[in-house]
Amino acid sequence: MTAGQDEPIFDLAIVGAGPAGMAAAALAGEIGLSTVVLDEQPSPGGQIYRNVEHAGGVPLPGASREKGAALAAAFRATALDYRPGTGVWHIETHPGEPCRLWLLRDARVGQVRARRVLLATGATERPVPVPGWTLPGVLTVGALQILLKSAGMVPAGPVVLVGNGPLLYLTAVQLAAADTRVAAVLETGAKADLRAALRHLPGFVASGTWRAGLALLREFRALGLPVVRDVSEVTIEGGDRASGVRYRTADGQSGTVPAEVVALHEGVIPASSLARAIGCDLVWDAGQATFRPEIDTWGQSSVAAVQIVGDSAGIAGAEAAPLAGRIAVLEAARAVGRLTEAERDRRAAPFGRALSSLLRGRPFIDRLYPPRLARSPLADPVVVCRCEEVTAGAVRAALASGASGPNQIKAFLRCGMGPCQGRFCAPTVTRLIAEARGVPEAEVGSFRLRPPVKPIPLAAFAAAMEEDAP
Amino acid sequence: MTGRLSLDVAIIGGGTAGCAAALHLARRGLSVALFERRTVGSQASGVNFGGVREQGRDFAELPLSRRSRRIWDELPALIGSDGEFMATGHLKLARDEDQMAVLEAFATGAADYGLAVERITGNRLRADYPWLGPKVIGATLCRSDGQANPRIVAPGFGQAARRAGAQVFEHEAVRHATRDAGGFRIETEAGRQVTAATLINVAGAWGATVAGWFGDAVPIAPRSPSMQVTEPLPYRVKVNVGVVGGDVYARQTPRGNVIFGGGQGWNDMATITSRAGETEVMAAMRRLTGILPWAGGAHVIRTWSGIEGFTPDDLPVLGSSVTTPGLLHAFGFSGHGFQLGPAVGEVLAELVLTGRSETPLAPFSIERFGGVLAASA
Repeated sequence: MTAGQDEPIFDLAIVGAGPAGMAAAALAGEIGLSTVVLDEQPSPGGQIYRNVEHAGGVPLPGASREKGAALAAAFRATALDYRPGTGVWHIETHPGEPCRLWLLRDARVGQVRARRVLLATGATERPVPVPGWTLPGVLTVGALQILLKSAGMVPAGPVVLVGNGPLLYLTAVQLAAADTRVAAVLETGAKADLRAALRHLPGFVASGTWRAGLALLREFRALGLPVVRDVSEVTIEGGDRASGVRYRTADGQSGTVPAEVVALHEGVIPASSLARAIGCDLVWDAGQATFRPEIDTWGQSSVAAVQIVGDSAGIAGAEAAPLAGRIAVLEAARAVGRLTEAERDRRAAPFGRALSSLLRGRPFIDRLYPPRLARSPLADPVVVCRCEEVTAGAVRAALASGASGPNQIKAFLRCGMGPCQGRFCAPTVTRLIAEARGVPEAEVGSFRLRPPVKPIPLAAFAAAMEEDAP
Repeated sequence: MTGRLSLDVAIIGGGTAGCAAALHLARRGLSVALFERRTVGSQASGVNFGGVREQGRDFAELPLSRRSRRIWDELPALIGSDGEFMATGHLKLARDEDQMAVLEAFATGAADYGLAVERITGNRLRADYPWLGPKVIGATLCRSDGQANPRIVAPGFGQAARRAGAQVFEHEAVRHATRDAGGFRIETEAGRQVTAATLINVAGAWGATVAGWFGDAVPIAPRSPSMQVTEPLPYRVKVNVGVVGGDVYARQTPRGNVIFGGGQGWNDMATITSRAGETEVMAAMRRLTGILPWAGGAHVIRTWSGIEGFTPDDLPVLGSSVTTPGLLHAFGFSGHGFQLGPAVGEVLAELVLTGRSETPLAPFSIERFGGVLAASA
């Protein structure tokens, strides 16, 4: 299990079986690359097409059930080494050697080797640190959806949705379908956002993605829920659990709604833990207000053997992801000598045209639903790092006493050293440093990540070692 | 960033020893500047296991180690922070009779240096440490040993040095240094030109490179001990735990995280990157569950490493250059320099100020390696 010299070396390892991973794998199989697909979910689809192979699965916005099912069917029809229920917690890359991917499956550690790695790890919800966000009863809409889907766990008390973006509307619609009426929707969008977005309307219209969005919006409006627009200064109130949400409206009035469940959402950001742990260079994406891996048009990262596609390389949505996945696979095939450069270019051209068209629709969405609460000024008592319970004030104090960057904040305060390795606090820490030093976030950078990118049970290693013993 | 600087003392390397030397020298009124390529405490001083231990050391190191232990108690007065130091005791475990004999031999010898080490076996071992696994047959305890948070100790010395008037330049690597009749001439990557009467080389795993600029030859191997930490568990292990041979070591923070290490990881000196070795990590985990079986259900949340210089005899180089007057070396601490750092800073300051130290340094002489390089300057 450790040395594995006689184990096969795959041409390509794909991490993630969402739209990007499924499409990439199907094409890799067609070209004849020996391919292993590693995915945490029990079945293909990723987050957006979760359970798409089974009736009753609810697809997310920007996606159509048929497209997801078609991707899954093509994926299933391809001869691949598909390993569901398998997490990847570390990837070793040494120049000139095959990559070694470290796995966790059924509480056992394992590994595979591959000449190329394609990361298609999708997106994660943007953390929204407002006062009270760590109280019991407060979660993200993504977590609320998972609760809904698992054996009809419907919230008992009043539910308040806070934030913006299509996922917020969809969650309200899904809750209504489960006979849970949302008590209030507090939208953080401003009129200025609509004006900023309108300049990008032609691209959005041309991209064709407006159809699904409009249908969702109509469905949401038809519910007739109480919606408060343009809210700011949101505080979640409560003693040992959430009891209400206080907010300020555009005309300066303050309001309060009772709530037992508060779901926060201000869009998604790339799930880039593996890319960071490998050491792929990141770049600040001002339009999406997040770091993302730096890639070229082939999905090539700064690490020679590693390509990154789909939302994990920058949020572009479920329609764009399969195209990016296919384009990247063509380059991987060239890199391992399976396609000539001319063949790669010829086959990639139609995917590239379709992708460009889709990407023209993205700035409209980005401007219409910018992170507002997630980018608001943070009061000192607000918890930044949930794992180690570090406040904004503590981060500011460390900065005042000489800490210069994210990794020093981590060293001094243990902020970002907990089980999530900074997934919840990294964007906030970068922002606090940028504010304190008066420099752009791009210049501040973000935490280094250390393997494992997810907690691994000690016993899983011990089991692996015993199998290995002579 | 560019400019000229004329100093009494220039220091290359921002580990604990370098920062402590800067602190003491600045307090004595000397003009001091320290140059650190990254940030203070980036490598061995800042990312090590955090053991503050006299037990198990080479006896040649004990006088220096004893001196350092006194400083650990005085850290709040010295640097304004305790570095999270706690004298929790260090329990060294034996897994067979031969190992027990090694422990007993150390305990006997340590008494000559005034270091108290107790033998603990049988029922008392199980009563005092009920979390130990069945493979452990005995142990010795040094109550004055303990643990600290390495991430804040070197930076604490660095801040104190700054307050005392030393200049601490971070993100400023030294490109080269030479000596002529006017003293040392140092050029940094930022283009700064520095002259200094004395140069202190505390460059850790890169110490031999700096020594080589002056023709001092030291065989150094860069290694990267593998470190891991679990999620918080109930706080049970209040001593710092090691084993004879050192193939696994562990401690628990009051918050509950179990920090443990063992084996060597991977590093690349050119890009200054290092990480825990996957195979070593797994071996250390298996050994950990051998001595602390109750930790087997825990999740490992992070692994890490740093780059440290190891000498052939695992003893540091500490003292004057063979080739170059005014050049002092302190590096090659071979994986056990964290506890020593505060005293090494004091010794270096003594050597600068008086030319001698009250602590015996003969075992650490660079001359023991016998080589002089053709000066590469």
